[in-house]
Amino acid sequence: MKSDHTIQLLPPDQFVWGILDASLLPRNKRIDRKRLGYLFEPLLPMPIEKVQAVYQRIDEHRILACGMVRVHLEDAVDDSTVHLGPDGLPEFVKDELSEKSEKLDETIDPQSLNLLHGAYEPVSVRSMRRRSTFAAVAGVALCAVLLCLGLIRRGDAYRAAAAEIREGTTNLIETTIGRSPAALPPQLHLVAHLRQLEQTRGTELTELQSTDTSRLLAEVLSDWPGHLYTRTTFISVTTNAITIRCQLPQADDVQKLVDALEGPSGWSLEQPQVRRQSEHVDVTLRFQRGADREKGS
Amino acid sequence: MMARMLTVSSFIVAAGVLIASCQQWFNSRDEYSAALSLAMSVQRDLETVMTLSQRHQKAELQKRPPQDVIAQINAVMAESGIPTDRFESLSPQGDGLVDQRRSNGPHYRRQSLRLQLKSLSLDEFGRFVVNWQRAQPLWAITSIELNHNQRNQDGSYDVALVLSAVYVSQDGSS
Repeated sequence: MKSDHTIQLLPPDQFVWGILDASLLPRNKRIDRKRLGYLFEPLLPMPIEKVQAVYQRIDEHRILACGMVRVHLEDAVDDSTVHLGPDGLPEFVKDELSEKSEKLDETIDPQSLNLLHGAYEPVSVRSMRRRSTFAAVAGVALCAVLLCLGLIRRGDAYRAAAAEIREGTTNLIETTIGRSPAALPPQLHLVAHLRQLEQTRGTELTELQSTDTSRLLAEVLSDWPGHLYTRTTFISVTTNAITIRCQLPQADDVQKLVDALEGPSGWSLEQPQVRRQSEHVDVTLRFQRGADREKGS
Repeated sequence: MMARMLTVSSFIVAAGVLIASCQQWFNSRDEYSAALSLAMSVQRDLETVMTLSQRHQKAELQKRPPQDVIAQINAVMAESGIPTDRFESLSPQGDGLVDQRRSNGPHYRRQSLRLQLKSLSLDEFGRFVVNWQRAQPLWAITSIELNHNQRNQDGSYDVALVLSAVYVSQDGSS
């Protein structure tokens, strides 16, 4: 506040005073000057509208009212006055208060009673308050703007990082498994590709695979006696049985053939069927999948 | 009064803008988290893809039409030096649901085709089998019949093979 601002403290008899019973008013609330004016008015010799008043709470039930006739107030103040109030309390107020309060001076500071409020608020005070309000609003707005900018920047950074991750993920998928021929989105393409691989290359598929009988045949033929003249007329290999029909020159060769053929591991040779013909011997050998091995003679 | 309204309005506007910014920030963070989560999931899937890709394929994705298999047979016969006129026929032998221990997961069927070749020497037969296994590892030879050709006395055989392959059943019904 500038130094040319003046504070006017007038004797208490220049004011009108009252002690208001505030027990009917809501507690712990801001003093409503209009309501208090109604309480103050019966104590005044004129309507409350003609009096500029200020109120200060004494205790829970009492409020000190201090007023001045507006016409007098307007005469007393000039443009430089920023404070107009009593320089002390009237005797009757002191007496009234001292009966119930020992620390009256600490409770009521008469110099804190300023009648220059509302319509009488000094222009300088009003403009300073407006500047303060504006500064506070501007400060809050600035903080809000800074916060918003920060949040937007962080959000943008998150979105940029997310886009980068998505692009990297897409590139990784396309590099690893290629583009989708059906123009599927990369993630869907990956899921479909993975599903295909799991369906066609899963470990559980091993047990579903068929026995390759060519390996069984190869095992049998690997033991075939090369020195023995045979004419093979029929070979049948299935997953459970191997049947070989052949012609041998003489009956003694049957046992040589049987001795040479061991058959696949885990298979057993049944009793050979031998039929003598005029010029040769027809032999039928049959291997059966089974644990025990019994060779015929 | 005007100043108070202005102040309150400013606070309301500032609060609104702040809330909107916060909402946008939360959305962006969720988007980032989702992208990160997706990337991790994709990485896991790709590792599985790499592991599975190193394994041999054990089942076809779908049933193969016989014409397709005939083309493969002709290619293998050519590779084995067997004239194409030795090919006699290829006919469906069966197509049924495969017994599976696991009830969940995909169902599989086994497609079988009977191939008849005539007048093959044992050498030709052996070359055909070896080349077939190399070219078509999914198609196992599940049955072999070699009948000595009585017409020609050249030691050739009429051959009947059953070729079987497991494929993924699309409906799981038998």
